[in-house]
Amino acid sequence: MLLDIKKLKVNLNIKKAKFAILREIDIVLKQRETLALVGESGCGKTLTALSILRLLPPAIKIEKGEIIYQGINLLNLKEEDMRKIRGKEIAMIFQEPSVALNPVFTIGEQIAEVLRIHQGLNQRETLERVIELLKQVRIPDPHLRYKSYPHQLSGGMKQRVVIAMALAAEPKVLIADEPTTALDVTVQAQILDLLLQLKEERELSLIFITHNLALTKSLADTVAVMYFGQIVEYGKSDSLLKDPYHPYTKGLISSLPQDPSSPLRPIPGTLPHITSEIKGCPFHNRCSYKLQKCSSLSPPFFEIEDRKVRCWLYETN
Amino acid sequence: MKLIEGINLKKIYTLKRGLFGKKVKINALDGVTLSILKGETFGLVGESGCGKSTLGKVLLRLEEPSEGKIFFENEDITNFSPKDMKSLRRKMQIVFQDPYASLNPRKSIFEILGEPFIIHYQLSKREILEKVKFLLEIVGLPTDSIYKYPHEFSGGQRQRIAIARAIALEPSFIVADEPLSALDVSVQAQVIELFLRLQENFGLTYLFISHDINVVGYIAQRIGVMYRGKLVEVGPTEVILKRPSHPYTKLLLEAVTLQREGRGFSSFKVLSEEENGEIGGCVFFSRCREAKPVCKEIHPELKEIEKGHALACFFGS
Repeated sequence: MLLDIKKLKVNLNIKKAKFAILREIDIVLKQRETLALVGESGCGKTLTALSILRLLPPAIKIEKGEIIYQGINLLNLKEEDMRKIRGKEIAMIFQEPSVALNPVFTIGEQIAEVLRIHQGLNQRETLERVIELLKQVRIPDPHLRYKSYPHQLSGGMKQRVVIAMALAAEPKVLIADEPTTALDVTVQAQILDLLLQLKEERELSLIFITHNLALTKSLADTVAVMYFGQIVEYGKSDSLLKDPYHPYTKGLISSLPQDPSSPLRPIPGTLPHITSEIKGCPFHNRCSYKLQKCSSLSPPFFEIEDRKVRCWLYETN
Repeated sequence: MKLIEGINLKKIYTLKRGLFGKKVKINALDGVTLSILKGETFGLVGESGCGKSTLGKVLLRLEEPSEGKIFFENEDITNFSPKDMKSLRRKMQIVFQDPYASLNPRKSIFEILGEPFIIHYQLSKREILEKVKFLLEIVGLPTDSIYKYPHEFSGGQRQRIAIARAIALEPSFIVADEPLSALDVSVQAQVIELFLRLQENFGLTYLFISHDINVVGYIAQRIGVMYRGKLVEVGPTEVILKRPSHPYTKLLLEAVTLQREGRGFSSFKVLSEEENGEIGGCVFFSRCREAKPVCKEIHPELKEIEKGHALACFFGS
């Protein structure tokens, strides 16, 4: 077990009010595994990632739970020790490459900064490493390109630079938060391909955050579907995609564009706002399989073989 | 019947490289001719920077074409004065990509949706209130949200507001400029449904711009594929999706198919870097897998190869 998140509960504190925005998150990441966190905007996927790195904004506090990384509970670490984890052990790449890069420094300087902080190389070694990293993320002409500024690169190239930065300190875990959402379809395929190759080459463990279930098919070993701050279904990716149990997962799959000759079937309604109070299952007012108790009782996890699903429909099993 | 027509449209942007740098000309639109029929949806597909948004804006005269003519309802509007354009704007509207950027955060929904009626019809506040409530109902938002502000809505709901604003004056033509790409996949399906329903109820004509050829398949009757400022293939949706002829169209379809079927991405190779500057031959030459020497020398014109299906490639079949 590389990373083990146990009963993580995170609150948003506004003045005296407290809102539970992550409620009982349990996630396990094994060595060289790829775990996909899937759900709509606002369901808590990014928040889960930021909790792992302890990068939550001040109003958001971890209330309960443990985040065990290689036997150490990250939540008990001092800030200076946590700094040695970030980047060096667990690194993260963000959705929008043009926001993640500093516009006034060359990409070479920005990658070099990571190397300076974590590896203490001299100037010449640093430059060699920068070029080596750019080569690894398949940037053409790295010995010329390292002098480029972010605005001189396309979106896909910028995302490659961000990946190079994340990998500079040789982390074991890489968290990729919607790394392709801001990119064109053709470029998306290239970046996903790159992530897969790098994962193999460097024996990385990957947490892949996305709103698009279709992407998990070729990428992930395990999928955790999130809804309203909870994991509602958790299982092996191929079986989960082929045979989803939770009505929400079913809805996510049927709203994917497949073949234009068969119409889309979107999930009606929207994700409830993070601060709204909900009785029962948070999905019940959008659910077409609703039972009577769904509106009053929140379902626990039911385990069916190696699948976990938070839905009353599977109670008898 | 043709609703809107662009003939040999060109748009040249002049950029300066650096403070004293040389001026560089960029052909955002390079001789595009297309016509959109009344009541149809024309899907425009291509990667970022190919000129698809510029084409949408030029047709609405939100950008002035450098060359070419625009006809709306068989009237040449290329040289319409701003005053003439104002009354025409009732009939042609646009929905932008990012509903977080296109709605003024300091205005309530009432102000946002009421503004067109003040500008064009000088209605009283009570009349406007009625109109706004009606619009909210049409796009499927609760009418009690009338005094709320954009930040109180999710991305999908915001896009509904932007659509409500676009249809407020009962236009006949709407340019939808990547209206889905800022939204979650599950929400995209809902918004596609809304576009289809509005078209059925109000007989709207759409120019639907997207980088995702598969999504366009759900809504468009005809698809045009753009590459570097030129249309390279135009045809009925089934033809483009089922038997594409241009190597670029094939590439776009391959990207979405691979993603959908999750067959991995490693078989998907494109040359990602493109040289800038003048090109004599085919615009797609540098990335084309089927390129022959002649493609480097002569540019293939867009020609009809069967009824309603036009292609700009010497070898496409």
